[in-house]
Amino acid sequence: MSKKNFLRAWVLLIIGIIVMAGLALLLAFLGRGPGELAPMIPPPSPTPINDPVVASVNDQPINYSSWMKAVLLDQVMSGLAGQTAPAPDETLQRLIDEELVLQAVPPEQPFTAEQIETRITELERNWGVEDEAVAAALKQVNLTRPIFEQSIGRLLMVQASQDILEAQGRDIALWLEEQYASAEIQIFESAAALSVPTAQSVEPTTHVSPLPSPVIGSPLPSPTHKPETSSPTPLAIPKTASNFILKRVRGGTFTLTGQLSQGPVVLVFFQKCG
Amino acid sequence: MVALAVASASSVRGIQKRTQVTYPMLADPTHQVASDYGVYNLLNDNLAAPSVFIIDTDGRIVWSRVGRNAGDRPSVKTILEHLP
Repeated sequence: MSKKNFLRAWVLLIIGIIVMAGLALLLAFLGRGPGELAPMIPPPSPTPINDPVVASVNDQPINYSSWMKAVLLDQVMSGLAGQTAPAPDETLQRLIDEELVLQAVPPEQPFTAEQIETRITELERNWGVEDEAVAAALKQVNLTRPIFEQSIGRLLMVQASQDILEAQGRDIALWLEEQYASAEIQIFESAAALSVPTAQSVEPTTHVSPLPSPVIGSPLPSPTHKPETSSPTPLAIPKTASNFILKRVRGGTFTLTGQLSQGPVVLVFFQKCG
Repeated sequence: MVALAVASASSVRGIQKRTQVTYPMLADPTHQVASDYGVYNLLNDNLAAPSVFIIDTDGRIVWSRVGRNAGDRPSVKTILEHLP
């Protein structure tokens, strides 16, 4: 054997010893004897320390990162729509509702990029903004367009699942109440202690109210006020309440101005009429 | 509190009978009011999106929430917290 080959053999032997020692150490660390089969390496934990579970719905976890993403997206979308962003706990509630819906009616397949884009275009039209305004609002809270698209895709799936439930004759609100009674829903106390972004970040980029400004002594527009457009996709939520007169279903007439003369009014638009 | 739906008077009357609520329930079959408040057909369902507006006595909308789906509604607690 030449000197060169001798050295090569020694190097290979040393490398082999190192590899074997490493393997033995690894097996010892995993609590297995060297004669046993190496265990399956467990998959990464779905709940790393820096991404704790804040709630669970029938054992399906909702992680802190998902929650925060939803909170920030709510801020973006509410800001663009000229609305007050929901509080973080309301967003968590929404995620739980959505999870219940998706668990009851799992989506058959995800929406295509084209369908998502179409929905985004509709939303932008409703908000009266262009892509650039959405991009700027997302940037303001360090979110990206793909995350936004993913979120819209999820909303579409939830909506599709809800449509199926409604087609089965279910009232979603009542159905959710039933689910809350029967499902295993946990909101972990640690969720309250975690810091959440404040709802200050996103200002409406466009907030053009199609309604008249308040006038001293006559704060509400005329009852005969007509919207400037009959479009089913109005631009933004008005800042001033538009007066209206409607017949009460139990007889008589309701006037918003008349009701306001007695105090503040909570006006609720609801969907289900039996 | 005033509840309003884009629906016929008869269907709103039906729900008022069923629920026995005492506050005014109104029908907005032409969706004029829902359109004025910017909530008509936001969910592409030809209805008003579930939404809440708190209006002070000066006619200002001091708080509002518009649902992103049929079940997305603020809690009573949240509404009470925003009353002027």
